[in-house]
Amino acid sequence: MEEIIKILEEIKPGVDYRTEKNLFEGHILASLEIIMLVSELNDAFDIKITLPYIKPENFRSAETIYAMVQKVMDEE
Amino acid sequence: MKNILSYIEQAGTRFPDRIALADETSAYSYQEFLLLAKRIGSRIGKLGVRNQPVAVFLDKTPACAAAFLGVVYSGNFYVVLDSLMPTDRINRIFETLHPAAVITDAAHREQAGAFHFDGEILPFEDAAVYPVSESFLAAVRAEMVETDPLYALYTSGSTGLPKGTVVSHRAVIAYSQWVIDTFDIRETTVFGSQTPFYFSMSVTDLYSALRTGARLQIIPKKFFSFPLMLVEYLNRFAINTIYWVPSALCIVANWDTFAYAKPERLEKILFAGEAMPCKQLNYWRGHLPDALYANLFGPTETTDICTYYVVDRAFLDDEALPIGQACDNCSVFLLDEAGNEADSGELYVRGPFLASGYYNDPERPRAAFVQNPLNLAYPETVYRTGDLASYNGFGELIHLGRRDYQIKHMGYRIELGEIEAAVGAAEGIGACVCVYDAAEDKIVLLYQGEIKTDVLSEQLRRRLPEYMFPSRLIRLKVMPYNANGKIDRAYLKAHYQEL
Repeated sequence: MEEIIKILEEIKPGVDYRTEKNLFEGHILASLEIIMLVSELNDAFDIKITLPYIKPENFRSAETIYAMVQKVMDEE
Repeated sequence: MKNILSYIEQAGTRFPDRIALADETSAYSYQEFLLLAKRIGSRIGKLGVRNQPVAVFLDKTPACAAAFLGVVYSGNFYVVLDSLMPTDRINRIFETLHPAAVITDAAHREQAGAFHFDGEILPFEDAAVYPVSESFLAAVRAEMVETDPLYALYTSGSTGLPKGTVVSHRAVIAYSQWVIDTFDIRETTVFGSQTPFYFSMSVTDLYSALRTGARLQIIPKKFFSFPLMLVEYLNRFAINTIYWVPSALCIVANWDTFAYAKPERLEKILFAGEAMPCKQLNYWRGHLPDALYANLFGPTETTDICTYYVVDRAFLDDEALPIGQACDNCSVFLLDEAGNEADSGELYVRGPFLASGYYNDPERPRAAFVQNPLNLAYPETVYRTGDLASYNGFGELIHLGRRDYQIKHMGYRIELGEIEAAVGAAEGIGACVCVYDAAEDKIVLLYQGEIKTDVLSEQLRRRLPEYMFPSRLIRLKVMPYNANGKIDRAYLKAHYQEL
């Protein structure tokens, strides 16, 4: 979780990712930042996030992103 | 017919109840859409001005398009301001534009309050319910001529100051006629609209749709982040025609989207705005082999397009797509450096697609809109595109790059686009751009993809001659895109050392 918050802060600083629950719909993360985030997550956790995971509900908050990473790791 | 509205009204009479424009949450039939535009036009009429700019500051919605036509009904021309455009840029535009009014809604009212201009802020909500004055609208129509301006679109000029290209009714009527005839746009067409309204590409789908009774289905921007939702959206609204920037088509290909979901109704896939890499085109063609694919080419100054190529044969991943031949009712020719007609040289355009010129900028047109150098007998303005092209063995035009992208390096004349085509074809490349740092005489390649720089370097040794080999390879996590959705070359050129 800490690692994910660190990655998010690198991509877009100035947001409290511990409390923010609406990263995408609140226009905090734009389209390209999502692509960037996925690429960072793939590198950091040595996973490959495939297209079915690229949906808004997985990018709502640091927690949902964490849950997604967990799920990808479990499946791999 | 001299006014674009007459053509749209004709479609409205034939198809009053068909949907003209829609997005996720709203839909307007032709009848409703034209009524809304007339109400807005009647309200703007109260300003008592003609052929003046009226800025529209709204989100990309069907109502926003109705506001454009409302401006046109009032005898003025519209200027599109995107609601995501920074206030600074809008104020720079206003320095030369001096709009008579800005139409905006409650959601953007506060932002519009920061604009520097003398005109009034016109609330969209009020204009939308204003009573229609048929007599006023008829008087406006009677007095106008087809060379009156329809809109001005602002693009970034090379000097950094935005330039406003003024486009007339005549240009859009002539251009959209070509679109309709060439791609068989009709009432059954459902366009999936990707490009912002302030980008010339949107003129193509908006006006060819409205003239024929077709439907323009606006695709919200967020869908391009979530390709599976994008495909679901295309299917939900039975979208059968798209005209997108290649970057948008590449997102779909790079995610291998069609392994998971496929567009079921897509028949025509048109693209323009930047070079379409053949690797991603081949992905699309492999999965949707029966669709028509066409590469369109042109600047805002020729309304949107001047040449086109309907893909009719196979291309290797590292080949470049032709830009084809001149559109009907448009003419192009190439001039070499000595100003003689040649098989390779700078592309010039003549004919009715040409814009009228730049707004409040008397100096700039002299370099771009010039007397036809091949005709000294009578005044004839042609547009000098700044693009270099040549003919291939099929007699098709090939785009060689911008005159300003052609570089001289180690004594060789090099087109950066040629290096990009070679790199783009390499395995594991999502997107790439070449920039030239003239001060250091360095070719810099920036790319996004899985492939590491040393592996790419190895592959390129086999694909590029020594003198074209980039001095630096930079792998980016993500390509920067400009507001139009195209790769932001200017940013990369200025900032590559920090990346």
